[in-house]
Amino acid sequence: MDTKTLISILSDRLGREPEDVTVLLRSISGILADSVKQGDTVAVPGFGTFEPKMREERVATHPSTGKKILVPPKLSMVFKPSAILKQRVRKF
Amino acid sequence: MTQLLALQSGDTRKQSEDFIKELFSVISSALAEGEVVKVKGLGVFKTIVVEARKSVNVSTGEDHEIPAHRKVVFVASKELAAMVNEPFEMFETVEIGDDMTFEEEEAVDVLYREEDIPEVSESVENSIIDQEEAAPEPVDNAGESFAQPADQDDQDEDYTVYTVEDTDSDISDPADSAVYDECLDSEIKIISEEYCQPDTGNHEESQISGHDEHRRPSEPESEPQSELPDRDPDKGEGESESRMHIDYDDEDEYSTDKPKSRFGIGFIAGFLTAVIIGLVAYILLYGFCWPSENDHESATYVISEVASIPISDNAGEISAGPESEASEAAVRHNEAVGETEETTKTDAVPTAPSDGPVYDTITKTRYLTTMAKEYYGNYNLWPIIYEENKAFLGHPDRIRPGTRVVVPPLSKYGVDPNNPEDVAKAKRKGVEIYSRYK
Repeated sequence: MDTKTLISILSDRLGREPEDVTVLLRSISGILADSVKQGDTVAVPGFGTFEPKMREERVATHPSTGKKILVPPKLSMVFKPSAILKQRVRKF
Repeated sequence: MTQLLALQSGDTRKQSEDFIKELFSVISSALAEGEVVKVKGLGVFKTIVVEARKSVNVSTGEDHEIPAHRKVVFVASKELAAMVNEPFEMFETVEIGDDMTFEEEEAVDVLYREEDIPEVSESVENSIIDQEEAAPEPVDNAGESFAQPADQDDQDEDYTVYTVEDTDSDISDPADSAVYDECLDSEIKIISEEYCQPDTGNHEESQISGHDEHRRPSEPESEPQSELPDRDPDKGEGESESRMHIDYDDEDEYSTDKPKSRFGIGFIAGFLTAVIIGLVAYILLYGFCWPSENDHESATYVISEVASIPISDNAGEISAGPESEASEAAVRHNEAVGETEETTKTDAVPTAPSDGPVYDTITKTRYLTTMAKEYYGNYNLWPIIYEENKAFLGHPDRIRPGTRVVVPPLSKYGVDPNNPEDVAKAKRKGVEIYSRYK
């Protein structure tokens, strides 16, 4: 399912305009990003949690040149599905 | 999240809540079907297949198999990842030169933890080992073949690593070697120049080398060896500083120095604490004597701690505390009185009750009660002595040691120590005296 399909399904189910849905989706991703980059975990009941994950600075070798490089620290988002979701998906 | 969404979108809370619920419900249903869900601006939700694997039941210890199944995976879109990483977006991957010191050592630790670049850790480790092995060599050779600065230029890296290990000895050695005094000043001057002007490192080296050569023949064999290790790292530091301009060197030395100086600092701190505690104890012990507190009751303040050494009768010469001004004047008065009437100092001389006018001196161990006991046979009769001398006695518990008092005869007050009524009267008197000062 791609984004367009998702939006159309949502607008049908909710009775909202697709534009509204799009805007809402954007806001959601913005909210998620803001919360996570501040270190908060965002939980969606029945779905899962979006958590921050910190990758520390490290020294690595450049793959092609072979020189040493310093990779900066990084903050990323990780999704952990809830039990319900896991259960639903588990069966083949 | 509902709240934030409502705020942003201008919808009501209920609407936002519904939206979120619906959104993720749709996604989960799709996922349950095995579908991949792409959401622009958010990311991709998909399922992947997990193979069956053997596992152990943690409580029973039985083996069991985890069957093959599907699990949910989310990959954030580039946009979202960038937004999340905003706090760190100013950093870039940077190339490091071949001079490896602090970062490398740190990197070894880091790399051991992270498994994604295993081959790097090995090579890094090897190169560190090589450098460390190379480093001690210049030290050993120093005494014999005085490695000239030209060589040391090339072995730049060695010295930086070497610096780390050897700065400890750098600190301890100067204390031992007496020969240092001669050239230490000039050495320090040169070193400080190095640090201040890292770019002129090469220039400084030549200065030092000249200095070394000059000094070498004048010293016996042992000295150059002990001096060189300290000289070289300094030079090495200057060189590496000039080349790298990174603070890692300082941090490194600092961190390795710390254990030793921390030990010294801890020792000094403990010693100081002990001294301070001793001072406080001393003050507690003797502090009460300086403001001239001395009375039969002073035992309650300075009970077990007071030494049994009586203060001499010349205690009037002891410097008085602020509160004893009155008693000092009283003492002077008393002494004057004593001088005009009698000059003999009377120490504690037990006399029979109801004797003639007697003088006695209050000391740290002689209180009014003591005197009463001695002269009257009953310590409760101390108020008699007090009343006789009340002109210059203040609070009965705070009579300055050395205060000379007149011990009146019992007959003066018509008190009979054997009469319990009189004793009771004296007790009440005592209470009354105390109440005057409450």
